[in-house]
Amino acid sequence: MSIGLTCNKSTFRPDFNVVLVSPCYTCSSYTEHARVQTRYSQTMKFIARAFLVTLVVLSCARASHAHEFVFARLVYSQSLFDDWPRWRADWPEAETHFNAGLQRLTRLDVAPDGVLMRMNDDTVFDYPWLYVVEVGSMTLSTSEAATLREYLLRGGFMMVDDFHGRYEWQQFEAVMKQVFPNKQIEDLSDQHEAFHVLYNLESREQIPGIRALMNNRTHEKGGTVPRWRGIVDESNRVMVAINFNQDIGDAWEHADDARYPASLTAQAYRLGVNYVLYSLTH
Amino acid sequence: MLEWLFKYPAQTWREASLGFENAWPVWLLAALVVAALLLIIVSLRRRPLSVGRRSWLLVLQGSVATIVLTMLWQPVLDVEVAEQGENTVAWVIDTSSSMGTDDVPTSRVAATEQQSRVSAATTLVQRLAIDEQTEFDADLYALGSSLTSAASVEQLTQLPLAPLTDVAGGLDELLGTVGESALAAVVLVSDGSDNAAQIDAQWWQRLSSAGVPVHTVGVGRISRPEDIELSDVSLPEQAASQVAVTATLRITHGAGGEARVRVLAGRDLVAAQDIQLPEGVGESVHEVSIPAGESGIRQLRFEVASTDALMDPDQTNNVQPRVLRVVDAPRRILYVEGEPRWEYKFLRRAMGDHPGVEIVSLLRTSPNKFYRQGVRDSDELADGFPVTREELFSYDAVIIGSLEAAELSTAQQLALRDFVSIRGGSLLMLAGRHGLADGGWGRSVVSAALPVILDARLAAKTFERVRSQLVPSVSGYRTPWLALGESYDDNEAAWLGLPAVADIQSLGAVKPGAVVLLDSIIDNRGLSSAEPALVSQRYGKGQSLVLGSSGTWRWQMNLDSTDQRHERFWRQLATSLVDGVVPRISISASRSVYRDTDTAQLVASAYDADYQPLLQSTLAVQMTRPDGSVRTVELQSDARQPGLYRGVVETNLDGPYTINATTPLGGESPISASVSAEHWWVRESGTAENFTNTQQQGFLQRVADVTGGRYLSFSDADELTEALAQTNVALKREVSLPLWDMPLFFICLLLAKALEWLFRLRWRRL
Repeated sequence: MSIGLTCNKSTFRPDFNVVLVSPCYTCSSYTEHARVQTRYSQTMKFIARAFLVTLVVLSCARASHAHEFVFARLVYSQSLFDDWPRWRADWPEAETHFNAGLQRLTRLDVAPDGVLMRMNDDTVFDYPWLYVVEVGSMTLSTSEAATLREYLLRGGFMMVDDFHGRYEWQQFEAVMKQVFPNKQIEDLSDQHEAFHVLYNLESREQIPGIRALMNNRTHEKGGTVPRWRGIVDESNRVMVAINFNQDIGDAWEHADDARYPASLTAQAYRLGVNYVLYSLTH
Repeated sequence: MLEWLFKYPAQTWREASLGFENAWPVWLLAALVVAALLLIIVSLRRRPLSVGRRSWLLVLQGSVATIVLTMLWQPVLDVEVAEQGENTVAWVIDTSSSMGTDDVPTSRVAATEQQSRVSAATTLVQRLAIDEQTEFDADLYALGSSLTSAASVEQLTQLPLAPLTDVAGGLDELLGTVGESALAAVVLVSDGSDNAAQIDAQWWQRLSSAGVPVHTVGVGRISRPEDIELSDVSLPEQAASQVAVTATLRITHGAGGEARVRVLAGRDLVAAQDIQLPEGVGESVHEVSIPAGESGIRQLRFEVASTDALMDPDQTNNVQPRVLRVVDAPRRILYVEGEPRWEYKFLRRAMGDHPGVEIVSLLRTSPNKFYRQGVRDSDELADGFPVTREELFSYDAVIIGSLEAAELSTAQQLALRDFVSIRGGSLLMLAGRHGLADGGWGRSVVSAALPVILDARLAAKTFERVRSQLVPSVSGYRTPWLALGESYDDNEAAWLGLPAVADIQSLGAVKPGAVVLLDSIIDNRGLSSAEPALVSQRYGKGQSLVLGSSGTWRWQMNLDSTDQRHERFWRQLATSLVDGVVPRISISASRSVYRDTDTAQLVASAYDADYQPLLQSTLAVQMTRPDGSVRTVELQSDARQPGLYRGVVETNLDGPYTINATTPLGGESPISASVSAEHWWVRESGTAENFTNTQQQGFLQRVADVTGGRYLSFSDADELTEALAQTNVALKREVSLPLWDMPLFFICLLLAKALEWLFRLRWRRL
């Protein structure tokens, strides 16, 4: 039985972009044959993608109890017609960079590499910290939603990141309604403990993705106003930390990129550290 | 007839020794008897009689000679007799209200006709003490709230029945006069229902050493099957607000059946519960859960009533008042953690929901930052681990997580050790990368307090991340606060069903006197090995525990969210940590309800801020009476027990009384953190005799046994005369009772001579 799944960049790194590169969807001159061909092609790509994801998860599996804190990234399902695996955005550099910072800045015993977890994996409960990226594309089966609800009620903590604009919010909100039909998503005030556990982050900037930044913007898909939101439990403890209209993972990933502003990277690290410490103390 | 034949009663014969008044030696008597027999034999040989006939005559004439010679020596019985007019028996009749109960048959024949206990008692005393003349003078006493002398039985009957029975005080008073009067014995005619609560070990010792036999005559029925009595209610003195409090009710009942328990606060019904009184037992214990409610004082009234209207004719003993103090100040546990980790989070979560415990935590988040949670104000723990002993001693328990010993100064480590031994607090040390042996605690002074001998090497590496199963040891299964199920089987199944933990730390050798409560079972390629995982021991006034894993959070994450085993483990452990912790000040009264008693005995114990016994001549405490008036009461120090103060206060008003003390105590620095103690009790009138209204045969039997007297049931009371004759400590003199004129002698002489004459007449040899 696998206990935890870790993928080390140096040992295995499949190139999804080669296999799962997205063709042009918007060509209006498709013939009927072409449409059939395209549907066939997409189905085959989905099967190939699922196979490769399983392969990478299984092939990277190894026990990961040598450290107290293990950065777990959720591998989730997404739309059949969205052929790029959104869960792997910024992977694995985001966590390897962030883990190193977390180890250096705190007394926490951090595993240098993260693990990839599926919600229906029994061992997900061994990792009380879960990072989910691009949740605007996330879908969960009924059993996965139930498991996520149970995971959070038992004390697990989930940080979601890198989704922008109204459409992606609606998608994420729908998924969370699936998990907690009666819970509301609320804004976290500047005085919330999550912003003060280690660093005082009363004033925060929007953390943009690097592509937006290269285009001289700090926002994507119309998401101009950054939001720090959360879903809390009965004791008012945050179970899900929601970073909307932001891309914290990009800031971690490109911490070593001269083009990415150090001040934004620093804020992303501090925010991440605070979230981790909050999850370990509340 | 026998007494006439032998001149004196059998009792006198049993107690006396036989002697001769005549100064002539006894051997001369024997010689003369032998000579007389020889003379008879010689004289008979000259007679022409057969051997058989000679033998008959020898026996008869020899008997006459022996009797006559014996009478000449003047046989006597040497006995001790009480001095007439100088010895007294104190006849004490219980005249408390319970003696008014009509449950004594008027006669053995008419068993259905009942008379009151006091009426039966006075009749008995009149007959035995007054009408039947004995060698003792009779002094009469009535015993109720106090001992009252009476000139006659008639006067006794006219006394009003007392609302209280103080057997201890009455006998103390009576036996205190032994030196002044010739008290030969005491006869106590009572139902034995003492309710003055003066009886303790010292009293039994005093009673025994008085040297006067106390004969007890029990009156009244030993059991009343039709009656239900709420004998006692055990309730915690105080409880945290908004929690459920468990009250334990002791109900006396002769028969089984259904009953309903109700708890009222004023007119509000707080709790109600139907209970089943088991058949075949005289007493049963039941638990009732009560919501503690808001902080403040709650005057509660516990009632029990049978659902069968025909049962329980006497409902005056079905009610018990109690006072519950609901507070918002739970016990405080300081949890110091050296690194962020999941165990910290989940432990705080589990203990955080404990209503009686407040977790104050200090977490080292980064190399130079601490994160505080649960502090009362911004100053608390602002400088990290408490620097002063006083600050550390303000907590009830301390948990040390993955923290190196070197992070504390030597003074802090000494204070931590003294926190256990002197302050009487609890210390729990958890496993961790920087905890226990790996954190250098084996080389610390704190190791003296720990229940295990930690590895003291500098490079100790005892913490490892391997999976293991925590299971209770034999002692662990017997430890109530480790129970995760209600029955043994449930508990065992609950433990064995727990997920494995993923780290373990070797604890080293277990110290003598320490108890292993949990073992960790490690499965190494099919071979299981067990190591101690939770060990505890008493150290000084406190206790210390070591838990060799920091992975219990996996129980919470790997069990259903509704499963409470993780929470229950930590909450029960928290309770065990803070229970029994020595408070700085404590005040208690000898009872929670004083019925018809005008005084209450108080005991207070006080320590200074460094937990040394507070040495003062007096301790001033404030008493608030039911009418709201406040008095200062000076409790006197107990010379034999430093730090202990005792006092007696007047309680002559019905209602709740409060007694409290607050630091700083006399001579103490006002800077000390304020600590207060409070105690409540209730005073009631006219209810004491409603409880324990049956004959307390055991108590009466014990009184008789320890004094050398006899216990007699009312039906056997006639044996008192004999008991008094046998067992008394009267002033006595030795007398010799003459036996030469004993009718038996003369009858024997006449009989012997008459037989001889008849034989001779028949043998024609007159």
